[in-house]
Amino acid sequence: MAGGLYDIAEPGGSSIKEACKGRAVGIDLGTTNSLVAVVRDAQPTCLVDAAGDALLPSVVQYRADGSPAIGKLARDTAAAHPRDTIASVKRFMGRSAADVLARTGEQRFAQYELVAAPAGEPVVRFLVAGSRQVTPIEVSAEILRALRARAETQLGGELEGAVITVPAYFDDAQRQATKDAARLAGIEVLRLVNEPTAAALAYGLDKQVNGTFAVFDLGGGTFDVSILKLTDGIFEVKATGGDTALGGDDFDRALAAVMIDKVPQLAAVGGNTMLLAARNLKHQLTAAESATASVDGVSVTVTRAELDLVILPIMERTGVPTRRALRDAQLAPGQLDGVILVGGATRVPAVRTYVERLFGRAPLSDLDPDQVVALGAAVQADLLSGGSIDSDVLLLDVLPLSLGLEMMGGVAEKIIHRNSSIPCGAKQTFTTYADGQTGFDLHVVQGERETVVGNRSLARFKLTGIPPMAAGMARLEVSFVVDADGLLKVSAQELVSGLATTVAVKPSYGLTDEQIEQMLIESYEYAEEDLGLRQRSEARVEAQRILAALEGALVVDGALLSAEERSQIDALALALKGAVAAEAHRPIRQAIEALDLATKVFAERRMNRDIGRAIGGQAVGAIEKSVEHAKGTEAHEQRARESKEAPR
Amino acid sequence: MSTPDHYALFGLPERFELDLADLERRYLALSRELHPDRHATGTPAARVGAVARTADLNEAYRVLRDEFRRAEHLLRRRGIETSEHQAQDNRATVDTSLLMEIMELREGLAEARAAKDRAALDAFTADVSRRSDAAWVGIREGFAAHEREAQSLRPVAERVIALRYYRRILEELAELEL
Repeated sequence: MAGGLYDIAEPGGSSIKEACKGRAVGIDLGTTNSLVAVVRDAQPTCLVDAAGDALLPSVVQYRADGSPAIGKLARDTAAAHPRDTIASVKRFMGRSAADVLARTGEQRFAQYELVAAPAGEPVVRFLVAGSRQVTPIEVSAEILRALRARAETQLGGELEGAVITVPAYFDDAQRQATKDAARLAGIEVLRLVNEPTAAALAYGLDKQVNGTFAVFDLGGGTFDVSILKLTDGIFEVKATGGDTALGGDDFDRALAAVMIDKVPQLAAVGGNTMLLAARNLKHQLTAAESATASVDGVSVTVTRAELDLVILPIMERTGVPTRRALRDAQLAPGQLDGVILVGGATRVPAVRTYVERLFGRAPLSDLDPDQVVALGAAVQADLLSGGSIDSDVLLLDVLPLSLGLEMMGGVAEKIIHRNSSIPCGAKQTFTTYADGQTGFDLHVVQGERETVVGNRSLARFKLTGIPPMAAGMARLEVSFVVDADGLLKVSAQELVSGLATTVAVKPSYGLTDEQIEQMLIESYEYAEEDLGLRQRSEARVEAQRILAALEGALVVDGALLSAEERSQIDALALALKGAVAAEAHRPIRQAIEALDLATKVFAERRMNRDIGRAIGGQAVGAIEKSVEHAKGTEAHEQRARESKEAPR
Repeated sequence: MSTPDHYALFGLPERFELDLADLERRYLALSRELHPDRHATGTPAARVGAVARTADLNEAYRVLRDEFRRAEHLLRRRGIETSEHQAQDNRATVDTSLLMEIMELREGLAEARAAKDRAALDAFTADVSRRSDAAWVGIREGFAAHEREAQSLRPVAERVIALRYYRRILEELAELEL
């Protein structure tokens, strides 16, 4: 499992890296607004539209001919096309049809025509433009396409990739849905980064500070709080918490209700129009003590005190996640060095007062709370694309919600606990409960509740074909691995028979790979592009990058190889150079894999030497030994609990 | 299944007392080497390898930086299993008097919780904290004696088991305060 070509990428620029520089962007895909930013001359900046606006309203309108309008136009004409205009789509990401349909009574879902899912299709769909059905993933992809177009026009060429931010408290299904949307928009995701972490990155780099900070992020539709420690460029998330259905949108709805209370005839006005009016009023009340809105010719006046009163219960819902995050980080509010405000909703004066009370100190807000997440994402994109690989900056993030399995009796057994640093992995061993049992049903869940019902169902899969044995004889080993995007992969193996299965936890609520491929093929943009050409060009870029990295590594560390090893690597590198000229991507990929395998030992040696250096050259012998046996996930601490009842 | 040596990954000797600031410095230095972000321009295989190594590092750090998990780990390395899920053979026994004590504490917790009595809850929390502190004193002394003159770790294991119950009760109490 340990990588070949490991650590072969050398600091310093190969020509390919130089060419790619500035083409990796950061995207804040927000509930209300979205932004795209890029690092230019070592400074992150948001890209603006023709009118000079950085914010793209996250609103998509499907016209009668099926073509989408995105952004301001869609938002401003929403009142005329309430069913065809999807706003705050982020709230629907990773949600099942059952989830959403059960809540259609709620005001926030009332305006849309939702389609009951066909059998076996868990994902929710909107009915728009007459008969068209779109998923939240497709709607989000439209927003991402608009941002991609903005970036490609201004940067003059195809994007190399993007870092996309997600609420820290997004679960696996919501993260996966976001990644799928990017794929649909033709964007390679370099990394999903948590919004508060991105904000801290932008803030910390700007201020050059060390210390422990809380990031209080109240956006349009989601609330996140993260506790981070900044140490010489390393941003280590200690704990995170939040609520993915809490934000400024809720203020708007509460305010709209106040407006209708005051002037009952407003009840006849459409929901979209009222919400837009309420939002404008809320914005005015940031500076003014009292403001008047005119809705369809009817005017209504609201004071800031009235706003404060009605949003207080909404704000108070941030208290518990905040206190829990502080406790998980083992900190008292007084031990923080600062509180950073993120998200448009933190402009509301009452929110600032509330945060000050919560933490016992005045929050910092000298960076634009609307832009700071996108700016941080741009910095991370720059780091990941090799734009500044010699930088000391590193983000160490955590898993927001515990991951587990359903046990007998509907109990959720946690395998990986919340706030574990990612990437991470764990294993558990189970046994059969019935004589002759030949299969296991595995149900993967996420959340903090003790019962399965209270948690989020992520995936179900089966391991079948186990030879019949007496109860308790079979040994089912289940491995969880969470990558740096916070996405989970589960594999299971029956140890006695060696039977194995692996699932990327994808789809209780998402789209299958086949569905996405199909959408890609159908989508207008991709019909024009030749997919094969794209794959070949990607393979070529990768091959060149690897060859350049290998060449550099051989110059520096060639001495770590025997003459025989060296000549094998040289031969395979030559074969890869030959394959680059091929017309299809497959021969290139195969040659990359062969070279990868051959350089595995070389990479291991370099890595072990570097680890020795990292810990000050102490006990290098011991380290090499431990790295040897810590290879892959196989040797994670066996948190195996034998003799445990089998999952269902 | 052998228990991996989390200390070796950090280049540290297997001793219970640990300088946490030093451990953190080592963790950050190793993260700089191993984290997938430092290998983002590598091949897919290199990225997978980085994920696996960092997962190992994070697990080792998770265990060592927490005194309780560290104690469990050291005992497991010496063949004593204190977690309740492990196979019975090498598991430290749970004392009957401890079980009685825990049952009484659980009852006390349920009563204080039902009565919603702030003062009673505070007094109860203080009581469990005292028991927890006393167990810790025993654990530290036990490890020191073991490291000095190879004394048996069985008494330490008993205290670790008791502590697991105290910790769970204290966690529930803390959750009430949020």
